Amino acid sequence: MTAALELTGVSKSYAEVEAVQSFDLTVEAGSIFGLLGPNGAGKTTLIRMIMDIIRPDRGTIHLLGSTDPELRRDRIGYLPEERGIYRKMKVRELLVYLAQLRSIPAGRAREQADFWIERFSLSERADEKIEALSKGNAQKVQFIATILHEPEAIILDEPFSGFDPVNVDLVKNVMLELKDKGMTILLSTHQMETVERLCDSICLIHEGKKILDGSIREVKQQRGTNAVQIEFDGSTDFYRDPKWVSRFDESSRYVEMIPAAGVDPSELLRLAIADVQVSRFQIMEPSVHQIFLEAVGVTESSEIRSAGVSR
Amino acid sequence: MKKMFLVVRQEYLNRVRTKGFLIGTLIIPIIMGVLILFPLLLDRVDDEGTRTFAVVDSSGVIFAQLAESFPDTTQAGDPRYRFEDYLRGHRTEVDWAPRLSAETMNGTIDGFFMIPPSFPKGGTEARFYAQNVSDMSRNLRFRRALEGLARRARIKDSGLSEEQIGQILAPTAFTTFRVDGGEATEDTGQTFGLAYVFSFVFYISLFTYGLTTLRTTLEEKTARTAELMVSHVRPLHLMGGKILGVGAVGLTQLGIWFLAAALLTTQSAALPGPMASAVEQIRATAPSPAVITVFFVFFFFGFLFYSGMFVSIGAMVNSETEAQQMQTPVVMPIILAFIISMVLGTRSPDGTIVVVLSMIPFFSPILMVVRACVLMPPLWQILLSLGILILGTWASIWISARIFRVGLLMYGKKPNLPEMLRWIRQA
Repeated sequence: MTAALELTGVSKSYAEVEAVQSFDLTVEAGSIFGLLGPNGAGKTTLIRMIMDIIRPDRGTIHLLGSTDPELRRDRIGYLPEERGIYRKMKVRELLVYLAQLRSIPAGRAREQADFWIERFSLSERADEKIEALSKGNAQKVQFIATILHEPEAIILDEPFSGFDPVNVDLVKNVMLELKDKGMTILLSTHQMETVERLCDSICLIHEGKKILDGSIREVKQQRGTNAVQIEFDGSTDFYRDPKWVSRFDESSRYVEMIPAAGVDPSELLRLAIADVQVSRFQIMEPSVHQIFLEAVGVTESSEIRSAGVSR
Repeated sequence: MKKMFLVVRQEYLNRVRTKGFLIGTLIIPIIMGVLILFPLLLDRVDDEGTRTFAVVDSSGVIFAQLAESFPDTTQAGDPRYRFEDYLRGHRTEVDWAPRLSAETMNGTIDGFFMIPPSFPKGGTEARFYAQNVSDMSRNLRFRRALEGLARRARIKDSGLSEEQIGQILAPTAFTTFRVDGGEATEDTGQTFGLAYVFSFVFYISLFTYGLTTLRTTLEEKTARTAELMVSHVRPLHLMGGKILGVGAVGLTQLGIWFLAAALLTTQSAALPGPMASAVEQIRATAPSPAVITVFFVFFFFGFLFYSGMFVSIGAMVNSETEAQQMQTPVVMPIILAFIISMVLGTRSPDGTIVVVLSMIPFFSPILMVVRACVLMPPLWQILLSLGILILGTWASIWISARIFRVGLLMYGKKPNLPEMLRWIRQA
């Protein structure tokens, strides 16, 4: 697979704040890539640099094989975090105008606009002004504007904000369809759960730094301290032995435990069966959310430690 | 470039389709028309019937010919002013002033003249009393009439016959002609009127459309459309498209006005009576094609020059209120240019001050138009002024393009001067 987007050593500071610190990133063509991080992590700054809206202090950005933003402008779709479209224009008129600005001929632009208006159930509103639409519908129009010109890559900053659950599903389905057609999708979000089912690869960003990246499976394997849940009748305390279990959490009906280094989960099952009647045994895959919290927690505590040493 | 044209077209359509454009296009000519036609019409319509004035002519030489000096009539054909000789039949001394004042108050008469015996010889002053004495032109006419009659009485005293007096006092005629290469044309203030109308229209349009470019930029910011648009088109093309779109709207409006004016003056016969003759009076002012060319060329570049600055302000600020504070330094030169053009431009269009000022881009657009109206400047001055204006326009657009690119996506604090200079360097 080839890379649709490649960032090398990209940095950007505002006054004293380092918003993005020597960032490297590779997004494979035809994949859905999630840029995850809490508010203020630097996601939007990163995306704006990719879109050439702000320029990096250092580093290079290759997008669709080019470093010149002019050469790729028409081949990209962009949904900014700051939503805003001309409120005085009518839905279809606006979509056609924006598509024409991406060098799509007027006829083709109208066809595409009608197709997506239909798809997003906006047919009855096609000739209404944007200002007459509900917030959700205006968001739909803006999403359509991002994909109308059949770009090779789309970059979405918080694409799900402002949508109700039904429309979140609709947008997700559309994204998956577009991916099947070969489109590269980069999206940022701080909603970790939505990303898990959608993204092929992710990058966790915190305080302007990349914490980890890779395919979701890789990330889970890298950071995967797979928890084990065992539900049983009777009593046992094998999990209190740090030789087998590094951390545990007792609930009323089951115990969740994290195997000590080098201990296979099946080993724990064997130990449990030896003592009690096991009714359920489950290896818990860590969620991206947990991985993220852990990753951020680790860096934070290490920072605190280093700060303590220097003092 | 194709994208910029799309932005121009959209900006143009968005503006032309609004009610505001329609109202603006109609209202300005109506205001102008009222300003010009109203006094003319008013003169015809102003018919309050006959006014009666009492005359106490102790000199005995004024009253007899007073009525002759006011031949104007009301629409019904009666004399506009009627004078009554209150001295006739009153041989006894009466204290006239209180009595006539009372009559004036109760409306029997509209006012009265007190003419003392020594008045015609330059002695005691004549007095005019009325409730309303603020009609300056009427007061002046009364004064001139009394003066004339007094002079006539003095000449008569010197022993000349009526015929000789008539010869001495025969009226003279005086007419102003304008020499401009071809046949000299009669001018009764049309040139001044034309210069006034042109610079007024220019001033209003520059003002309105300059501020529109500011507002359209600010709208991109406040509606948060800027980020989306900048991902579609280069910021320079977005800015250029917006300025040219607004400029095209301005030219459309001016074009409509010029056509309407041309139509009105050539079709004046179709208008109802008093309007037709009023239009007839303006017709003589029809500007030459050269003047119209100067108008449009200087409007185009003057608009670009100023809109560069207005757009920069729009990109820098975050709200209308902030914009209002910032726009003053840009608006002031426009107002100043208008005032200079009205005061000096018509009086000494080829004086050093006006010639020098008409080379400075801040003033040249309006001043050149006024100069062209009053006294067509030498071609080299027009071209030099235009050249400097184009250079100024280039600089204005170059700087504003940089401020636009950075400022459009910068929310929050308004930048200070060093920050602005950094924006210009960076972009």
